[in-house]
Amino acid sequence: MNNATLKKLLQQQPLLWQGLNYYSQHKTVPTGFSELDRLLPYYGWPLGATLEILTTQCGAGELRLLMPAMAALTQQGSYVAWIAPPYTPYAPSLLQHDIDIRYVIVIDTQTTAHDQRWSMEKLLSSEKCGMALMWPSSCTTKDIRRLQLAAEKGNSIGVLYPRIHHAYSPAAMRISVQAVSTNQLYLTILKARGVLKKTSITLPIPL
Amino acid sequence: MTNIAPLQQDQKQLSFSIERKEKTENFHRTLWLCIYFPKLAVHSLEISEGQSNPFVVFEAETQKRTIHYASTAAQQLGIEAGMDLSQAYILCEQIRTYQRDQKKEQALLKLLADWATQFSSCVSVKYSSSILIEIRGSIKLFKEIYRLQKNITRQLQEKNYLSSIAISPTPLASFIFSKASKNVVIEDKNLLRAELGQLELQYFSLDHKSLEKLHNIGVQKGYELFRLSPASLARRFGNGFCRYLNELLGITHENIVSIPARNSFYDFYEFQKDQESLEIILMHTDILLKNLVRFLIQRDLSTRELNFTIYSSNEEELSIVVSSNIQCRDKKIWKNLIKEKFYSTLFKNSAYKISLHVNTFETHSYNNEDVLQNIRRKNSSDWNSTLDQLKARLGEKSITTLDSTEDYRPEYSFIKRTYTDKQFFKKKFLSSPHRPVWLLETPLRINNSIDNLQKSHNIERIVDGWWDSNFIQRDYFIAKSKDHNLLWIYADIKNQGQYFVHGYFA
Repeated sequence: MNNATLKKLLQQQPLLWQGLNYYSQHKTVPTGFSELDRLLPYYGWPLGATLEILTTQCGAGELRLLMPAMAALTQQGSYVAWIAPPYTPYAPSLLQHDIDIRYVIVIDTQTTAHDQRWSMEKLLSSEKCGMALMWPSSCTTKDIRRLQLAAEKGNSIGVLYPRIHHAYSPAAMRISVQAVSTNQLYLTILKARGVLKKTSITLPIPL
Repeated sequence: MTNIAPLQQDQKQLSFSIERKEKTENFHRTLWLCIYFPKLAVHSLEISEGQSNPFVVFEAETQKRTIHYASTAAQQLGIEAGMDLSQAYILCEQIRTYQRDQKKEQALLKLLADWATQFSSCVSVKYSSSILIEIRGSIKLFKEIYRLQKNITRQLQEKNYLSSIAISPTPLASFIFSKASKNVVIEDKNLLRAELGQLELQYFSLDHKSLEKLHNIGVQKGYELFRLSPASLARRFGNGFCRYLNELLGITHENIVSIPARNSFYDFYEFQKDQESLEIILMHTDILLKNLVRFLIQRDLSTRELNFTIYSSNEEELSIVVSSNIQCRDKKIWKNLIKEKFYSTLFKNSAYKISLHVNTFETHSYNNEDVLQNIRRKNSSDWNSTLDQLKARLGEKSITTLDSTEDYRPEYSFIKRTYTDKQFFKKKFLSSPHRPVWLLETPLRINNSIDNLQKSHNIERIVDGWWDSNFIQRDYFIAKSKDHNLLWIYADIKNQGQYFVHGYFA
């Protein structure tokens, strides 16, 4: 197999492991935090991937971490879907974070876990949806793989806030979030395609 | 010189025939194309003719059961139409029998007549098992009769309908020719007499009594009938008979009523036995959907709402509305929506009938978006169909959008609205200090001491709503828990300074 054929195969098959070169063919959305961008492969949240954010308690800053990316996506005309959120997203707060709320949709909280996963898969695979967030009580490896494929299809970001933390996950990126002070978050990048080491950062994060 | 051209004749011969006819300048004002369906009863009962076992379709009139149609296999055993059913059983004990359903035949004929409106606005179902189409005006559109015939024949063959087509200046003559399987094209009414004269009288749609009388006087064929003087015929058979012959030969005008233009779509499917399987019910919604899409394409329309009714023998009828955010006539999109909606509807009973009714239509708009637009924007129809699928499965009110209002009271400063494609956003908010991402719909009372919480020194006092019954007087703080989680809390001044959690800065 010559170089050109190998290159073509690598470009066509996103599932082939490419080591640190994974994101060379992938687009990203800037996180809005330059320190974090520098730490992440190819400077931003990866489009076409699932992201697991692990937090012990609600209110640690796990959503504020994504607000700049949400703002960037909605301002480009991509939708951000909140699937069965635990509380009501507060519109004035979203506006304060420069999110264009015309592109924010909330899926009913009364849906079953199966319906939530189905909704997320549908939304992620639609190219008009830039990001979908879900708070699953449990998510199996198979579910995450399906969501990963849907995100790849729609070139979108699937964000999961699992209530039960498993040791391993097939998600493309896993981040643990802990509040250090009012305006600071301690982030541990547990897993990211293209990064071999576990890295941590204390990030100043505004309200 | 002949003006009669069989349908199979090639185009060259036909155009020659037409050219010569034009020279005669002896055209009738109208030209009627009749499509006769000899197996309409079989089509309406959806019996597969391919089955090797002999079968018959019988008609039950009071006590007498007469065979209306005999399959090829049955005919080989000597069974033929008009025979008594008991005779058929004598010839073949294992013969399969189906009772003719004239209601179904009529419904099918109406559907076919709707399909035929693509060729002419004047379509009638006056005669049994046939459709009459006035095509004089359509010839210009289709350029020549040959093309029109070819088009109709091809479409009917695609639908697996056995048919016979005839064209003549009078509707009755066209019907008789097609019934007799005489695929002729006659444009000159003066030639009708000669061509009809060759036919047996049984094709003339005469009543049994008149037919018997004519046979008794030795009249077997059309030309023998036309030889009789009108006065003699009027005396023997009445004036109605003469009027019938005049209409047949185009001497007097026959009144034909066109089917009215449909302003709504209705179709149904009746199951042969009560059906419990949702998969089978869904399979039959596909048939209804196919008919609807055909109806919409013919009229260049689209719709946003399908109304299904499931009839159950145990329960009241169940109405299921499947709606789309965008106007649509794509079968695949509707099929997905129907599937999601039907699965989310808890239908537990058996169904004996399913119907589809559509009464709101829109002119179909074609997607003419700029090809150079951003790819994401071009996929708006894909997005709408995704949302439609979500709504179909999770319910119409499952998708909401957020908006803000000009109110200082946190609980009144935002609106949750059901998603529609025509949203109106105010996009206004009052400049205020930081607001939490999560807002608790019902504030959480802090029963214990708040000493565990570290309060910020910036207090935001909100006193508002004095004009209505929802007056509030609160002091808001940002508080930090031991785990550094940020809470939005307030002291309710009206309630002796009781503390509540109202949101989280997640």
